[in-house]
Amino acid sequence: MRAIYKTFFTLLGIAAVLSILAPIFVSAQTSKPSLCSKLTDFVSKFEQKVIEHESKLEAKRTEILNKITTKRDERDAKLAGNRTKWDDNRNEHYAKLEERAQTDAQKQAVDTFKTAIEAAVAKRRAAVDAAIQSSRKQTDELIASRKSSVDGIVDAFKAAVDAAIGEAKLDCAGSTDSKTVRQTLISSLKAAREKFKTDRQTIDKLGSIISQMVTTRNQAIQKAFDDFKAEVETAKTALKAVFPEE
Amino acid sequence: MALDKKTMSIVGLAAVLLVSGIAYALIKKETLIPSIQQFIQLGGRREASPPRATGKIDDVENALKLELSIEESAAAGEKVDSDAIIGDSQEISNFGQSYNESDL
Repeated sequence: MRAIYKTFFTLLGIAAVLSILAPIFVSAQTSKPSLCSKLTDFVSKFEQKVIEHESKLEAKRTEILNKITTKRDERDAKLAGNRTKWDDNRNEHYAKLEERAQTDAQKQAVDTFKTAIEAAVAKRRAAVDAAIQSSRKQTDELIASRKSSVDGIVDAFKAAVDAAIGEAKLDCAGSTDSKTVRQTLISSLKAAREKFKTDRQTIDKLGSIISQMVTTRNQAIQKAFDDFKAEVETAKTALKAVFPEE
Repeated sequence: MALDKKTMSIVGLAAVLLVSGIAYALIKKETLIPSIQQFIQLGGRREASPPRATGKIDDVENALKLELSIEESAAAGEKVDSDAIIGDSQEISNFGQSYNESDL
């Protein structure tokens, strides 16, 4: 009878200990599926965010291109209008010079002056237009190159995140404990984010390229101006030779 | 009473001066503001207006040189394009915020 009591209380003790330890075992068993289910949700949110960011980036790109096109059209229209205004003004100056010309030599000199100046103006305008068009072409190429580079680093970032998640899923399904899976995943995601930041900083280093572009454009325009001034000076000297009283 | 008249005269004169000053400032402002705005729009470059034709050769030369300002201004305007290239920086940065570690 005593032995029965002893066995009964021993079993009771074991049952009590098991009832205390059971939740701990259960918890350990369920923590991994919990992380895996979080992963599915995490992937879904990540993909959704990427789609949103891609959509916003595309909208911004369109906005930038539209802005550039509009501004170029405005500047072209303004320049054309201004040139017409100055053409009219030059014609008024020529008319006044023709009024002053009394002798055949003076009339001929005014005519020569006018031809020389019109040729110089046309040449200068062509050079300025070419410099502006070249600059615009370079800008368009920079935009296209930037787009391609940005798409590349975004794809690389997405691939790195996908790879990290894929590895976590494998670990999750295997024997790796959930804490290690989580730490590895967070570490891989951090590395992907850091690489993305570094890559985009490289893309943003456009300062020197833009600066060079502006310098080249300004030098071309300055040369066109200098050539024009020299041609005007030559034409003026020839004209003054027959209008000595000035 | 005499003192009151003197005081009133001074106050009246001050009022007239004040009104004249305000009117002058307003007129000045109206003529100044458009040119300042234009100056800013041109990136600090001014576009010259065509000068009146006189028949003098030096005036023709000056007019030809002034004409360059319209092309200087047009070239300066191209800077807008260069600045716009990096206008998508924020949208690119946003990709780095595509996930939240606290969701894990």
